[in-house]
Amino acid sequence: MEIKKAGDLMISLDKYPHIPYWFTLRQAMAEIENAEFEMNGNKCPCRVLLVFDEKYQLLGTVRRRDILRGLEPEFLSNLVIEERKNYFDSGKDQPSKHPAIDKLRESILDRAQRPVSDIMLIIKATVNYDDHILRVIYEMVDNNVSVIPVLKDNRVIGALRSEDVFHEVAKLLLG
Amino acid sequence: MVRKLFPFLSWFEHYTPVKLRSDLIAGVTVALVLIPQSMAYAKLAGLPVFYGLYASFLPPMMAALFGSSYQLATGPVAVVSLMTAAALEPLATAGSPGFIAYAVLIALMVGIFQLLLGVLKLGLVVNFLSHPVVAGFTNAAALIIATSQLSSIFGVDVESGAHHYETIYNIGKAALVSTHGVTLGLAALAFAIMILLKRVNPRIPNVLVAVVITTIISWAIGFEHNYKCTIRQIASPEVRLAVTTHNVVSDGIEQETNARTLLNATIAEKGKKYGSHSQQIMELEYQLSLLNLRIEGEKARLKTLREQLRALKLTGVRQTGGSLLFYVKGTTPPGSEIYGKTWRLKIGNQKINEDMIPLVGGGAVVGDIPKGLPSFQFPGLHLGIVLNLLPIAAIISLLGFMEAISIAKAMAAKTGQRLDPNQELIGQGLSNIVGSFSQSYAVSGSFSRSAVNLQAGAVTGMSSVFTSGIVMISLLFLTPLLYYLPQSVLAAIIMMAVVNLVNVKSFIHAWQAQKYDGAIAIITFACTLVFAPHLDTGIMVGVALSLVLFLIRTMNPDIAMLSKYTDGTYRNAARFNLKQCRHIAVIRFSRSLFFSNVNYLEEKILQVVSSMPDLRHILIVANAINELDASGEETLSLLVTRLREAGYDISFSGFNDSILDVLRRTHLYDRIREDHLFRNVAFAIDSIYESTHRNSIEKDCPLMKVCFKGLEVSPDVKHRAIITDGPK
Repeated sequence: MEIKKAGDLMISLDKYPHIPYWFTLRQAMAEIENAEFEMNGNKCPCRVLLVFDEKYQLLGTVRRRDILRGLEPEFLSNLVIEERKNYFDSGKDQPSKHPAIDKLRESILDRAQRPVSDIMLIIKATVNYDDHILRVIYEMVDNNVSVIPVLKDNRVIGALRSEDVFHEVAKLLLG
Repeated sequence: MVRKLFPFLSWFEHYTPVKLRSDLIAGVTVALVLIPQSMAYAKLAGLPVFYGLYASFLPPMMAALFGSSYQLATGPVAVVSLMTAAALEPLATAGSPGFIAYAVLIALMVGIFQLLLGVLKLGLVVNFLSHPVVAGFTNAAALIIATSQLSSIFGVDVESGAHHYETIYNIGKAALVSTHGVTLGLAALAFAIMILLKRVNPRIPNVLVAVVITTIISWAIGFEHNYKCTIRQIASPEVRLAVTTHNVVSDGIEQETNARTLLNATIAEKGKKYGSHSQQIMELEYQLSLLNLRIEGEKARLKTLREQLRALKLTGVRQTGGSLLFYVKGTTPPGSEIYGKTWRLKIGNQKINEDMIPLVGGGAVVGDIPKGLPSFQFPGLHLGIVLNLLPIAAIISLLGFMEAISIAKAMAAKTGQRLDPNQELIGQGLSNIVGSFSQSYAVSGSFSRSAVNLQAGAVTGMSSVFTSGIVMISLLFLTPLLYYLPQSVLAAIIMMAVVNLVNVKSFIHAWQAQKYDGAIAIITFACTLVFAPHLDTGIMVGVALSLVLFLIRTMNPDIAMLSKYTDGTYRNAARFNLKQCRHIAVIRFSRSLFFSNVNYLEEKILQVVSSMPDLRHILIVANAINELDASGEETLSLLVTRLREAGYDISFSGFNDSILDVLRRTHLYDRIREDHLFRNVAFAIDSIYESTHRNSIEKDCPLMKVCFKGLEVSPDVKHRAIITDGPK
């Protein structure tokens, strides 16, 4: 059994979609929609973007759900989560005092102009390029991340996705 | 001034016949709920049920006339009823004249306490009961109330344990063998009617319908079936022996208790004469200990005897001549003419009258309710009892008011009425005081009845006046109709009412807000359950924990180092992964500065100084410092002096005017210097930046430009121009 290392499975930074922190949510969304990876001859979408500053320092990550969360109109984010869910529950009566549905689009467009730095997640963990795949798995599971930066000599050289790690483990188990 | 003294006068401004009609309908609707509910709550309080009607007579009207809320419906409520019972249980037997007198006394004490708080405008005192503590207590109280009704639901009679959970255990054991089927059936029917009607049409007074139907059934089937026999009518010699032994032991306990009282008096007298550590006193105390042991032993024996007698099932056999003989079930002579079904001995906490032993052949009903209004009298005052009841009266006052004001606020949120909490205290206080003169026990605002009041269209407090009127009519003319109301139905009414008090979400919400608040809620809940029936212990544990936590929080306030963020504001550098300036330490202090946390601030600042070798200036962001006591001022003064002597400069931003007044009075203002006091952080940084960054090696200052802490990237990586070009 060949033991893979982080450096063997990572995607180099040149090829991994990344954006600056001042990009708007709308721009980040466009970047995600256009980015894709190849796996087993199939194209798969990008789920996480890396965020950099102008000095090319890696600041954090932005996931699709972070973008969706960031688009939430302010009048909804002031409600408790159950109320927010009920507001759009087809089986329940809509509260009459909230703005009409057509104003939602305006609010969302407005929120889409926010910078990604407002919603990005700080890097919680990194791995070295020669770390064993199990170490990578532990870091991903322990920190609940699906993309982890790979370092060499304390500098980021690429990113490792959980899909690639999973695929590698699947190959081992399923043959 | 007149309006302040008589706030109800404002009702009659623009009072129209339409409003009068609305208030009348609402008042009648609430009364239909109140009458059965109040009897159920009186039972919960350990009082005869008609005391619930007395508590519904004057208090609702007085609270409305002198309170602030238009829709708040005052009267007997579950939690206050339970606390009354818990407070008096060690002092007197439930239902006895002494118990009733003390319950009325508590109402008077609660009323005086509330009135004083209201008149002195101390309504804020209720803030000592934090929401997590109240949530924990209320949930536990709801469980205690619900489980305390199980004996009535199953129709069993058990001895109370030292703790509530012991009593519940005894009820469970008794229910397995002695459940009275019809009693349980009527309770189940009442539950079914209330639940069904609530679902079908909440406007129908489901409680009243359940009461009417079950009362009719109870009358029709002869639910109540009591008999009084002499000891000679009990055929079983073992049972007769048990009864006489019970009375002998009971007499013995009484004699020994009297002897103990005399012995205590002797010890007190001789203690003064010979000293508390003299040999005579030691010997007398030894005798007292032996006497106490004997009394406890006899009480345990009496308890066992009562349990045995209560568990007995008898069969009545008619004799020639019409008299009855009672055999232990299963031992009746063959061919006997059986009278009734199964009979049980009704054993209270007193001696059994051997010439009139009460036997119960059916279920328990409300029974006779004295017709007419309660007599007006001043509650008896006994100093010893007053002092004994003072802590619980204080807790009931605060809890009762807290319940009332939160309900009033909920009503006011819907109606837009402006509330005055101190006026509401006065209203609640007067309702309890005047109520105590008419033999009412402690009352408070009821959420369910207030909601009914609002939904029924109440416009002013006149609705509560009408409610009191309906109760008065009931007391004068309608009480005979309530005779056959089963006690198990009252228990079912209570259980249905307290279901709404159970609120698990409040625990989750407290936990989500702050884990320690969630912990306090859970601890209060657990302590209330474990220490029941001593409910005040649970609340005091919760209050003590809240105060300790408050102190700990003030001793360790949040202190953050700030840097510039993307939106131009200054935010916590650690939280937002921002770099810090080498030369200026911007320190935000998030609490008032006083004796309990001054040392913490000083230590933190000195820590910052030692960790920043290129530090030149400290800026303290003081927007959250709303109070500065003498210790805080002295510490700031010393800090300013020490830091400047060590070569650092120090400035402050965001002091409010009251703090600046303190600084001026103490001349610290002059020592800090006016040019080192700024209105906001941005202005402060603009002013001190140049002087602190002369000859600096720092290329980009994180206080002037957003500088994230990031991971460096390998130089081999191809850079995207859109990133390296920087933000536009």
